[in-house]
Amino acid sequence: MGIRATYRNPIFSMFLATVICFNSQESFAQRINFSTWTGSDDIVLNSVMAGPELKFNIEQPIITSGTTVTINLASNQTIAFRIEAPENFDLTVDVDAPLFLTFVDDPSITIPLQVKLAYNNMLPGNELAGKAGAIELPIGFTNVTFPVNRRMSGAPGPPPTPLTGTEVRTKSTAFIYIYGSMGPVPTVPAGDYSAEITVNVSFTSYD
Amino acid sequence: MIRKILIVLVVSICLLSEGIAQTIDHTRKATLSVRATATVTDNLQMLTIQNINLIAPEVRENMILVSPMRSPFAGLFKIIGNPNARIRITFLQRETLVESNERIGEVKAEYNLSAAFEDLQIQSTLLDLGEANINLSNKGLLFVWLGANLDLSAALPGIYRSEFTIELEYI
Repeated sequence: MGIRATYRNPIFSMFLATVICFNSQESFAQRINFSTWTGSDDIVLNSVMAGPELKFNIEQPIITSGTTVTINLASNQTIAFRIEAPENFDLTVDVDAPLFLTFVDDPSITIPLQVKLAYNNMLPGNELAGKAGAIELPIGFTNVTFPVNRRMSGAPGPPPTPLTGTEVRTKSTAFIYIYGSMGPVPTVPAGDYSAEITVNVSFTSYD
Repeated sequence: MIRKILIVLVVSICLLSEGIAQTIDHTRKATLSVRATATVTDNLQMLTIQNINLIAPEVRENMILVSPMRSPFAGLFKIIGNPNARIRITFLQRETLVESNERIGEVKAEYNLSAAFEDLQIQSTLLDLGEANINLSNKGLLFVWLGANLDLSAALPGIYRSEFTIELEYI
């Protein structure tokens, strides 16, 4: 039986048509995505201190109704994160913070919370040195994009060359800082109040 | 014929699996979370439950003695604050009262305080003179009794007035 004979077979033709129909939903043309690709290198996000927690009571031991407690960038209570990422790429830092501290026993009772963010991508030696030149975001901004290491001068260099073989891209370190203020404390019951702040760091793809 | 059908099936399976393979995504994101915490404290409150009574006790050898731990004439305060919080109590320790009209006679007064978690005077313990650091109970309460020793040896009949001062603060 030759090819022509096969396609003349009506049962086979119907079967082929059915298979093509089913497959048509799954098959698509080649797509090329020019998003940032850094090779196998990931972003490493580390807390500088063990068990990072924004503790307002260390800044001010007694918090009563009507008080406002502010943790400044310079304060020891400010939380620092070290970001290690392949240099020459842009990072997007997104801080997802609630606007309230919530009473542990009753989530409907809240205290206003304002989380602030600062970053330093000028290769400071450590997080303390980095505080001095850190760039603070204006109040209300919780999202920022910056290069892993800032160029001190001159025009930007050529784009990074694709990696071959076992090449490893040089990594660079940037710091981000989280701090902020709480209050004024309304008339609320005494007790513990808390909030969960999430920090996301990703490569900026400009898609 | 059967072989051809098999080939078509294999090709179609390959097409399907390719579609699945292309949906694999690369994760290039790091996430950490931080807790923000605050413990809110009640403002310290002090209620006077009973004033010290210096009229009823009898005078012995020119002295009126009201023990904060034993005397029923002692003054009583109730302090309400944050559970287990540590507070500092500062109070007037000694003073000399001068007769308010003639200003001749004088009474030397010495105050002392005792404190307990419950309203049981017999269980109370004497506080350090002048300034005491003490914890509130796990319900945020503290009962404080005020006693006084009055020296009347230089006193003349008349009116003597004073206001006992006590200060509380969290430490």
